[in-house]
Amino acid sequence: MEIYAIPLEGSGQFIIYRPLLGLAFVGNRAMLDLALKLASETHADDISEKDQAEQFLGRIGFCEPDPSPPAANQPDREGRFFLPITVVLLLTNQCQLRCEYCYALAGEYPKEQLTLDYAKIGIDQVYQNAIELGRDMFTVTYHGGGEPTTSWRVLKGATEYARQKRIHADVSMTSNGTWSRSKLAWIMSNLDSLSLSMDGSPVTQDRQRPFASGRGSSNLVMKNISELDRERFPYGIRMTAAEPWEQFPEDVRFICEETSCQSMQVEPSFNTKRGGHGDFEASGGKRFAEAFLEAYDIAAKAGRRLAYSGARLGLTTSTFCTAPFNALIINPHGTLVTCYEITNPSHPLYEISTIGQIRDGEISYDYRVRFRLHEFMNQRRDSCKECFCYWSCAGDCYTRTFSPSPGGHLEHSARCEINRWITQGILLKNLANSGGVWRFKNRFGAPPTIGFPVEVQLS
Amino acid sequence: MDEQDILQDKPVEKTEADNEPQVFAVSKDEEKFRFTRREFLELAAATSVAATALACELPGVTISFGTQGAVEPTDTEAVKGKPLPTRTPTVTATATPEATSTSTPTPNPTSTDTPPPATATDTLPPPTATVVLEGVINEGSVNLRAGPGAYYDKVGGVKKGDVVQVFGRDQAGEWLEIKPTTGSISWIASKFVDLSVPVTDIPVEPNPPPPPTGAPGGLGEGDYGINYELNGQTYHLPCGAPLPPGAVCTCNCVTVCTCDGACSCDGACSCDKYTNHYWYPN
Repeated sequence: MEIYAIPLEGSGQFIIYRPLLGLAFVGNRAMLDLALKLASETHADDISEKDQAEQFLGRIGFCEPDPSPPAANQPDREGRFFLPITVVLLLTNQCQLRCEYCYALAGEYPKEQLTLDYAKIGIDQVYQNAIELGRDMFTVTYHGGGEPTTSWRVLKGATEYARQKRIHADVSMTSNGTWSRSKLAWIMSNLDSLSLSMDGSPVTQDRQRPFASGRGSSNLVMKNISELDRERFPYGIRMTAAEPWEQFPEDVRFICEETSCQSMQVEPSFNTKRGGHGDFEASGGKRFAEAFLEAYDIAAKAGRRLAYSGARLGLTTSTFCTAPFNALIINPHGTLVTCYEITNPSHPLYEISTIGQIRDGEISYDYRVRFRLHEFMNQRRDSCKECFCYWSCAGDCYTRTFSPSPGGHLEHSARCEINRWITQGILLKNLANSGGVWRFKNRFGAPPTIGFPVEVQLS
Repeated sequence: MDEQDILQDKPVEKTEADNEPQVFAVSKDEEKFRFTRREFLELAAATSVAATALACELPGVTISFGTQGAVEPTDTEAVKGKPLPTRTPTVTATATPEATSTSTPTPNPTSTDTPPPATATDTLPPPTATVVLEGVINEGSVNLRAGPGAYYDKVGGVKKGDVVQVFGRDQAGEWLEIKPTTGSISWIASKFVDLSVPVTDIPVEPNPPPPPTGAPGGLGEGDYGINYELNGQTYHLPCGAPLPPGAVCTCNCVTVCTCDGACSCDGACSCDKYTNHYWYPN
């Protein structure tokens, strides 16, 4: 039975939290001690004759055993079971925008572009894997390092190629939304979904995501979003929050009021300048967390979802991100990498993240590198065992938690604090909304191994 | 050549008989005439005519596959063709009850008003009609594997337009047991092969190679398959894969969402497309 006690600062109270069971309530020190005592007893469920506090714990299901946790990811030395059915094509380093936090310094390096031949090789690979695994679908995603639509010929050619296969290709793209009318029409006709990078109100969008000329991008992006809404095209918005943090809730409010977007994901900017791979100042993290929690309520009241990757309350997993495990990611050099962010050799984690290359028209993996990376990731996660976010954050993003020095990782990144603040904050909101005892259950009525929280009001 | 030799892909020792068309059939009702499926595949690979019977289901003739390797020779009913190499099964034609089986029909050189009595050879296709069940590869470059599943070892490859001989399939019809022009008997996903017959018409290989040991660890987000425990360790396999002996299934064919949809071991999963599936760097 895993129990975490999260102290509520200055109150003498604790959130008593069982992440695997999906149960939380607030108690004082005596209640915590009783809970810990019951948890250590072998027949704790026989509480009918015990006192009122124990009966309360029994009534809320506290004495139920934990469901089996998901197994840890075990490195696959020979790569025998690495059969990705998702290919992520990092098409280019070119971009029309000059976002102030862009890790890739997109648009400023000499042009690099994934060839259509390489794109086809990647598509063939995941298509074959999907067929062999008996799946009826494979996935093609265009992403990172630059704006995919600036590599229009390859984008169109790869999509058409994927559509010719005998099973469905789910084709999606992450884009900055600065399309012409003809490109927008093609996107809505040919893609299945979009993740749109957009930061909110015009004042924020134009400051953080200007064109190379310095002109703001908000007008064009909002015009295209209106078209997506009009056609009811499925998309989500990926926001990046930066100072001034108090503006972020207003940016979320703007999106809720001006668009039909149902799902927003936000990450704080980690780079204070373009092309950097910096860490985050703890003071900024606290203010981001506060801004997020305020924005979370705004989104909820509007019936929308706002998510942050490091705080996934109700999700029980051993994997923060599936990209290093299940995706075939090809950058413009034809290099196979484990993160969307590793677009070229200038990235400090390029060496440990490069797991192969397209050679002579074929995918060639280096499973030793992949194995080593997964070992590093497990080591990193092992250091998280005392953290109450262990099962939801799952060790966090490795490109944010590994040290650039060879083989090292950061014991505690600035994101750790953000993850805990936001997870605790959402937990408290759920407790407040559910009468003081929060449980999540999936739609089958049982705590899932992995599930989405549904608040249950206990009488 | 025994079954082990074939599995290890030892070359078939050819004799003169290999180049001559023959018809092989085995009475379904006579156990003693059965031979193993492997032996049949060997015959098919060597002569291509045995596959005729498999593909065409000769009238009145049923191919059956015994589970025992031994084949007993027959005496009076045997087809008098030239013997195949080692462990050649002797087969009988049981076309019609009245037929007199003979492999060397003696044509009547003189014309008669009444047709000659029917013989077994009358009811069988001409021995020169050698129809082999073949398939054509329909994708650019496709894996061949040691067994019917993605996790078996890759043992070769074929390209679009290649013609392969097809001998059997797995229960679900998702994998075919084939032999490429060059190379040994192996398996390929059936969607990669264009066939002239429905895949369900192809006989099921009753004894496919044992599955590889599952991958270590439980399923991660986005995976689809079986979790099982063996000797205190957790492994996973694709859905439909047989579990190794002694394994205990802990979660059958779960679809673990990459999104926040609800998932369960009942196989249900609900994702919505608005959800970002990955952590996107900024």
